Amino acid sequence: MNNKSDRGIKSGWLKCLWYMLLAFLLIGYIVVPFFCTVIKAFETENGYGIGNIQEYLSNPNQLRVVGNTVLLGAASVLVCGAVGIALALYMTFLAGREKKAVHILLLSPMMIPGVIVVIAFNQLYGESGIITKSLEYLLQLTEIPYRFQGFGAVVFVIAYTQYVYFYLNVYVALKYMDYSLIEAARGMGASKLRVFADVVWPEILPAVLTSVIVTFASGISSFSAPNLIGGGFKVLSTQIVRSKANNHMEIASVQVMLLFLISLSVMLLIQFYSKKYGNARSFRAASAGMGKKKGFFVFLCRIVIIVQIVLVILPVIAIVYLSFVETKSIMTMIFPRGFTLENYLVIVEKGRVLKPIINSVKMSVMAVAAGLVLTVPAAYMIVRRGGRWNAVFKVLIMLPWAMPASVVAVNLINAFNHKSIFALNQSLIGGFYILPIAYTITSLPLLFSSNEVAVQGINKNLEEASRSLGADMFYTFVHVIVPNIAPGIMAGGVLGLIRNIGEYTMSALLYGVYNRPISISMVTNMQEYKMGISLAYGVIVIMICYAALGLIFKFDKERYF
Amino acid sequence: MSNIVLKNISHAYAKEKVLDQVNFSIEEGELLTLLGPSGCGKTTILRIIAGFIIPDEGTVANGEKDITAWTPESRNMGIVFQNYALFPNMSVRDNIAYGLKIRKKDKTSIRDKCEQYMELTGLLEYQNRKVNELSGGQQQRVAIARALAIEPQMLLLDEPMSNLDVSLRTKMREEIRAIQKKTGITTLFITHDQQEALSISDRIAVMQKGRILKMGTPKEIYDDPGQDFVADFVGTSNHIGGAVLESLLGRRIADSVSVCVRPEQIQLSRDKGNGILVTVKEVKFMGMYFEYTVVSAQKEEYRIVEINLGKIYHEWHVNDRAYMTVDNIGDMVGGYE
Repeated sequence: MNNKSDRGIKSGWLKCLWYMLLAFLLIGYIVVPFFCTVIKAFETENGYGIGNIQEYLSNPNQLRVVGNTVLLGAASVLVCGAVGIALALYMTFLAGREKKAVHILLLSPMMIPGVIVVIAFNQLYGESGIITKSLEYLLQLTEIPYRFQGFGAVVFVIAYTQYVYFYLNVYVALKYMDYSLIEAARGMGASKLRVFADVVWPEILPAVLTSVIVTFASGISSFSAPNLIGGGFKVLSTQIVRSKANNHMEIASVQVMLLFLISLSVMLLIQFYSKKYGNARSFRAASAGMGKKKGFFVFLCRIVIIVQIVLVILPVIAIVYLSFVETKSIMTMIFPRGFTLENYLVIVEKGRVLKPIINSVKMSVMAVAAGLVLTVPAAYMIVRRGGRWNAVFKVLIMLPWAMPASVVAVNLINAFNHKSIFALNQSLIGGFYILPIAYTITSLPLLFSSNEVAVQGINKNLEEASRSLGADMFYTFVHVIVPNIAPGIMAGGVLGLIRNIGEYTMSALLYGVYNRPISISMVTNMQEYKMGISLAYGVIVIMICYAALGLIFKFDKERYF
Repeated sequence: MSNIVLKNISHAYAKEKVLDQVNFSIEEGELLTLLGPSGCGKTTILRIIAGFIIPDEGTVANGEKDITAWTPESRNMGIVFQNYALFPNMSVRDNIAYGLKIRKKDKTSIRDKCEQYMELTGLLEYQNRKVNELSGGQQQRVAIARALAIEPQMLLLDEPMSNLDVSLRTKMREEIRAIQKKTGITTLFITHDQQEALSISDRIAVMQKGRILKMGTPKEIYDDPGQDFVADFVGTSNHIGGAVLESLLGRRIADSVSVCVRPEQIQLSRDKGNGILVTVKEVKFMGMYFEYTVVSAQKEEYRIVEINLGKIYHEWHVNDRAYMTVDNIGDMVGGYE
């Protein structure tokens, strides 16, 4: 064999071309749009200056919005942290035979898009919700017992949807913990509380810190809950949409920059703490035989778990039940009656009503496919080759993690509301492709992380074996690496698909007549009092998401069980 | 004819030198073993020969050709990794055919070659199994067959026996040696197990801290280790010097002189002869032989091995006093004086 084989040259060219394409896309769709927003924020009637920012920050109402955003992020972290960590501890140390079923139920909110949860919660706890009306009736009250609106209601919904990050991360950390550490501490006379503080907490701290970042980012960028049940509680994400709707793009850009700065600061702060305190890791050497699982405390825990499971199941049951009854009875009765398939028949029969489902599925699949084409080779190159340039690529791919959905959307509006060389001299706003592009951008960090973990799990010797047998990098990647990381790719892809299918924030900012997604149709139908159709849409999305959940469990059993 | 030649190879990982001026050649058809403790640089040498590492200094030549900067895929080296590195997404047959497909061999030739090497390694009946359905020994055979099927310039074996149990190790090393002799392939074998090295090799290179200390046939390495480290690493040795050595020789010698003596070169006896008086401190019965630890009047300890001859053998017990003599001690010291 020649030392400079034709295959080697081909592989070199492919690598070069791929890097150029990746750089073009990341710069064109992440970096340049962000700078377009920065420029827009400084754009005034008299040229460029800090006038917009000064005006914005001098308004006490706007400052309250910024404060509310930070408050919502912090409250989300506290509530979700308490719920998620407690559940993970219970499931690891106290759960009995029911563990697997409960675990699946506890993970299921991950699969239900936020907008559906908000609609479901409204049907349960809203002014004319089933639970609210039932309590009013049972307690013989003259008016409803509570108002499901404002800060408390938003945090309640977020706690329901976002605790999963804490729960799953801490659960996995506990799964791989070396339990002999606990036994050693107990053997030396440490109390249970001491064992938790000295042994368990340092072990789960990295997972907790990661969850803090994800939950805070998701709390401050939360849009559907503040928008639909926030009432007077305003946050940056809702105000960005309002500014855009009023065509105040320079104000929207200032709000976007503030949101991005809050998100980035917290992310950097937590990463600093992660590096400082998040290094303790042990690996399981003994099985988790944690002794007796009886007593009053365990009984109390089981009650709390049952309540949590009811909270998890109830919205799904409510949506399914209400999607099969007449809309009229939903509005007038505590327990609506009158079974009908009308809501589903309308969706199936009317092309216009069916279109949003097709759009959402199509756009989500396109986004995940594009994301995988970019992130699978990127993860391979970055993990295996390392180096300064690959580190830069990694930062660019992970940058959308620090960008709430509304930030990504406004960046794209600012960059592509006119002809751009990055869109082959086309304007993308108002067209079909802007939403799949936005979905792709927000999916990049998730897909990349999933693929990165999968590539790291591949023994480097496999690649070396392939190369020693004569294969170049490209052949090795296609025939050895990809088939062996396929479960990780699929699991990440399916999770990305689920997130995109019910996406609401970016959709609200970017949708047009050609790409109206299901989340927008759900909200519009609800606002037009076509509650039945809205809920039927919700059931269809939940079915798609649960099917996907099954696929994830199949592909990535190790991570979830 | 010289096959692979390493000249002045030096390499460092993050400023820590792992190879320091390594020079050796591997002759065509021979099995050379790199023997040394963990971290001595033996796997780095294998990876340099394979092309996974370009050394900081020095050259690797294949005959007359300098291949130092060649990519791994262009070197035509067959490697058997410590963990075998079999492709889990492929069957036994597909693993073996992998390198042949890359070489764009026609289907008949791929089938024939696969069958030839599966037969050689006793894998024909497992050809359609996934590799994770095989035992450790079978997996190792697949790795060897896969490496041989491309008819490589050289076979590189990176501690291939370390994942096997003791009895399987002995069996597999005999099989590897038999396959190597049958195919006549030049082979570099990496191990830290002295028994493995002694039993399988044509030549052994003993390494320590990135340097080759001694190179020779197994017998040369064992009988004439030359340096204390080699003597200690390959087999067991006693270092005899000072007053004990003078007593054994019956004359005065320089303080700096000491000799390295294998346990089987020392005898215990009831008769004084030329021996020195020692006390038995510990007795280990090892089946085929007894291993004794004795202490001299100068409080120096020596290990002695005596073959178990059954009923006619006189067994020593703890606290027995005996005279210790050493074969050819005069000749050994002669070399140092």
